[in-house]
Amino acid sequence: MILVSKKNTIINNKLIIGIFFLLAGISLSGCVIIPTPAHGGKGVVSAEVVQSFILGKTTRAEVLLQLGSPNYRFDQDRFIAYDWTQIVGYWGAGGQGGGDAGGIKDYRILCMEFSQDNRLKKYKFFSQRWFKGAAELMYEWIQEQKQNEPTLPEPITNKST
Amino acid sequence: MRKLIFFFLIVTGCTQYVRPVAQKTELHEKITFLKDGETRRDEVIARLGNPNEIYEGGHIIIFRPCEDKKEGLIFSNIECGLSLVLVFTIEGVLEKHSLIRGR
Repeated sequence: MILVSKKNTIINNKLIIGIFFLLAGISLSGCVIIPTPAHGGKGVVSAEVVQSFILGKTTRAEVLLQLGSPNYRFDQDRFIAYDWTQIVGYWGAGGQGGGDAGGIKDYRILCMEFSQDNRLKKYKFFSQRWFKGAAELMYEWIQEQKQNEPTLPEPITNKST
Repeated sequence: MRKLIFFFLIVTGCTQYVRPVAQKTELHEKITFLKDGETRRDEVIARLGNPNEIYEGGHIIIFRPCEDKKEGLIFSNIECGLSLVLVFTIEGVLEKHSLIRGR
């Protein structure tokens, strides 16, 4: 009888220790996210450069001379866009027996609208917001601009009859 | 605090911003003929071939050359992160040009 109770005590202790390690393992493992300033990436358009552009004055030519070939062209170059990817943080996940880590990437787009006289009218930066990607947000913005001004007026030219 | 600043300096130092680059004579020999206010569009196309992109009916043209350490700039259809942007006057004379790295 005494032997049985001792055995039960040993089993109970092992069970308690096992549960302790299991809970410790679960609580100690997990995911760590370290946000950092946006960095890395190629073809990044800095906010400073864009802020140097003057709405209604800076021409498409001046923008292209400064930023080079755009990634997207829409509506006969009424809209042009530049995209790039940057790291905005790092994640790490680990637990019993292993783990992994990596960079958190953010896809960004700068979209610019030009007026009929080829001058910068509007610009906007886009990045992932909740479940909507930057490209989707940009297309929505372009549609909005087109609804506000569906077609640009024809340029005034002297036509000889 | 110093370690934190050092970390931020390291991570932000890896970024390659889009920027116009100064032309080097030995590497950019093929485009040294480009002179703002002098070179004509016809001459540019005769020397460099058809541009990769045309804007505003030819007012702006863009070439996408590759940079080779031995051969200098190579003009082809392969994109290598360089843009040669040329802006012409109505008369077809080169007004301004720039070589952009990062595009």
